[in-house]
Amino acid sequence: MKAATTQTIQLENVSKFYGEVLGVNRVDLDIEPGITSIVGPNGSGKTTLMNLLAGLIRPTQGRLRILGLEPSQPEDLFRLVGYCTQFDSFPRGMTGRQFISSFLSLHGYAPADVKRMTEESLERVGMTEAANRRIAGYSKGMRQRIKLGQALAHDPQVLVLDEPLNGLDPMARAEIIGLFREQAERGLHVLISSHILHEVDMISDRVILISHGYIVAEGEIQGVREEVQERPMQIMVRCSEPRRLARAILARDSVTEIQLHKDGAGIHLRTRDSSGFFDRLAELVVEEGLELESMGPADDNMQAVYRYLVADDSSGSGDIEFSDDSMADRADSGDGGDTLGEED
Amino acid sequence: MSTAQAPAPASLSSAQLPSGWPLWVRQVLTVVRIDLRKTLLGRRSLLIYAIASLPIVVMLFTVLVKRPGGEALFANLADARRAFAMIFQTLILRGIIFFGCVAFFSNLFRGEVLDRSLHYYLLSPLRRPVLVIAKFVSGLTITWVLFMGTTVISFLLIYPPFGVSRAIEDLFNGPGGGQMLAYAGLAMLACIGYGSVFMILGLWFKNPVVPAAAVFGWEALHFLLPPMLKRISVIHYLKGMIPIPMSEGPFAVVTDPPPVFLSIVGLLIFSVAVLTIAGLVIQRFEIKYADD
Amino acid sequence: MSVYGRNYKGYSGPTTSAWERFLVISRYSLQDVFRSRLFTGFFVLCFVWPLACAVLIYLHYNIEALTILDLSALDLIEIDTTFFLWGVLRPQTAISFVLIMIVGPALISPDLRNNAMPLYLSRPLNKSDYILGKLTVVLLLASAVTWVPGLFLFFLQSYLAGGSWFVDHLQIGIGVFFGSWVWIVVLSIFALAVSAWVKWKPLATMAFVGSIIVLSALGTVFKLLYDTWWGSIIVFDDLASRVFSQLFGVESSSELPVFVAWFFLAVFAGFSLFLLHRRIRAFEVIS
Repeated sequence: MKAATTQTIQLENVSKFYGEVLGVNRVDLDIEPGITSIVGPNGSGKTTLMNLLAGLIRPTQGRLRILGLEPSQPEDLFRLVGYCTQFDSFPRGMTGRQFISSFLSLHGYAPADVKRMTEESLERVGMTEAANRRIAGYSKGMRQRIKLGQALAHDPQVLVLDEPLNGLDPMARAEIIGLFREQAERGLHVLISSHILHEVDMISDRVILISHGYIVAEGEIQGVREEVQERPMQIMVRCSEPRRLARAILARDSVTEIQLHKDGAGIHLRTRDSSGFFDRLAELVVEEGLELESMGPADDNMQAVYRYLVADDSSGSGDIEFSDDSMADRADSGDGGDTLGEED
Repeated sequence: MSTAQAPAPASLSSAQLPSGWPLWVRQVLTVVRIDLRKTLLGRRSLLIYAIASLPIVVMLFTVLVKRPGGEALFANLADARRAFAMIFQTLILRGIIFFGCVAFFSNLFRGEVLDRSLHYYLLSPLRRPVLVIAKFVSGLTITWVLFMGTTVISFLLIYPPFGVSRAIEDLFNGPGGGQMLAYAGLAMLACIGYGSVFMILGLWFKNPVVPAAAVFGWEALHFLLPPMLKRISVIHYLKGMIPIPMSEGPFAVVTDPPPVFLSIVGLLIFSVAVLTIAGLVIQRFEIKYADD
Repeated sequence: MSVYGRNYKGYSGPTTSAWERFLVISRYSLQDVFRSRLFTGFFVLCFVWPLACAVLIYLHYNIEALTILDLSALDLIEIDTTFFLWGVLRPQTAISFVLIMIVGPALISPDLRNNAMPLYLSRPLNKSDYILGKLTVVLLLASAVTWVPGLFLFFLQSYLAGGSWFVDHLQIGIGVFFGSWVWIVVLSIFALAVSAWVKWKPLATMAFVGSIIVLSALGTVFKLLYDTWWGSIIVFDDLASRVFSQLFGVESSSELPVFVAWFFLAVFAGFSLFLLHRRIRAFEVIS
């Protein structure tokens, strides 16, 4: 096996088109060890990026290397890489134990080593007891864990995890997150994708925001947050008396623009101080006796994507759109496991 | 689950792992083991065994059931061997082996794509051409076990009405032994030839039925083809090795079958060529399950 | 007030009556079938032969056209029972076999593969509606290429021949109509049964063709070995041929008794229905 010639994951001008549909476009990244989260809405190109890294799809243009190795060198690459894909599917008829041991055998380990490593991996993801059951009968969380176990079994240096927390209950999430931390502390690359930033920002060293196939921001999470705070946000408020609401808002608030929605049942407005706006809107609704149907970010543009992805608890929108913000923010202050322990 | 209590992973260093041929052989064996477990040990395998054993049932029938008048079905061993030749060419070769190869080999890759599990192989330290060979060996192992097994057992079932001593005599000193080996060899070569074709069809086409039906038509109408075109059919190479050929009817374009050695080499070269193409196809294969 | 309370208004318009609800499934399945341009092309080609037959019948009665083509009616094939049996019904049933092979096995397997059965059966539809809905698709398409053009040709000939031809040859019409129905009903039910048991569409198609061919080979082997008609009971084409002969009132070269042919066709269809009913259910059993 070739030794890793570099310690980073590099993507140089990587693009992927599915026919005329853009997957990702001109991605340049240099990812260092630690936990890196790729965050973006559904369909933004996260899975495409990860599949490109693993060689499951080929780039239309550009070049990518993981620790100096290209996806065309699977014998070397996949001894270093463990990929937990988003596909919720498994080889037919296998038990959890067979699933991990079979694919470990493909690495060339001796049967005794395969057995030992399989048991270690099963224990790590808490699946020892269910290991002899067929995967087809597992719950969603168990399937997710056995996939993680398979990706971790050969002790890779790079872990690529596509939506790894999907389907896990809060306790399992905390434990899996602890597992990621453990790997990262050992100097591994842990690459996690998620469409919910709060899910991963408490553990990430870096974040890459992706939207419509473009990398829209990357860096440490605090820097990305600050960048977003500066931008105006478009909000949609639906109510029974939009004209009266618009007049009341204009009289009291510093919004930059208000438009009546074309169906006459709501308004669009822009504000630089969204958190203040939501606070004042609550007071205004009570004072004016208005009935609101819904409210939330309405932009389809990049700022809205930023806002959606990094919206913090102080925005006030958490009441409606981001119901688990409070937990995430508390978790921000400590590690996931402890915070969730307090929750319990 | 407890991350705190879980033991630290103690993987082996890469230097301790095999590479090159030792690794490839181990990988091929692993893939074969996975496929054998999936195909031959599940509940569905009962149906596969049932279909593969149809010729055995037919031969058992010939042993147990006499003609309506009560006379034995075969007057002598030569008659019995001729009857087996007909059963082999009609039922085993053109029916069970052909459709069995379509089902097993076209499913080797397409089945993994439909089960959405091919990516597990592609995310292993496994070269894609090695995966092609491993899958082909899987298909061959399964079909050889089933179809060579069924051919040999069916052939042996021509002997019970004639007794053990006649059977031993015919198998070891008469034409029986040679014919049995020839039929087993034919089944083996048919699996190689048809298997390679249907494996690549399963890689190329989302729905390999239409091309498989075209191959069936081509093979079935082979007797009408001009000599040049006969050469690009699997049955052409197999025909020369059949111990007791059947008449192809008055409309057949008769040509001399190729010599046995040439038939074997021709089929093997053909299969290696197809596998090479399959190796190239899978190098460019992308995982896009949503399309399937 | 809850969002539900403010916005949700249940549908209060007219609904499809229960007896015709299965047609909803047929409608959507037909749309799916015709989404393939390849199939649409094939379906159009299915009418080429009946069209040629129609031209042939027309030529028989058009002196002017015969003169232009320098032909006499005697040069053309005679329009009689043999023409309708071997020139119309057999080719069109063969074409309908291909059509059923393409459409039938693909109807249920995708629903089972995608675990869609609970979605269907949680609507006001029962198992029989579902099966009937799917069966209607195959029957409609197969009818369109078998008895519909067959009867059209029969009526065309009756009209052009005039006189008592229609009454004298009523058996042909009966043969075309009932012969086609026997063929398409049995094959369609069998195709759906295969589709319900083999979840992969291409493999289901292959299983459909494969089982018919393997059974035919098996039956032929028995016929040749024992020199008896009993082998024909698993050869679908032999069974159908015998029934066609009876319906057309012509002599059959087969020794297979006609009641045996009817009986085994019924067994074939009944067993397929049994398989179909066992497999269609609103839940998935994980083993």
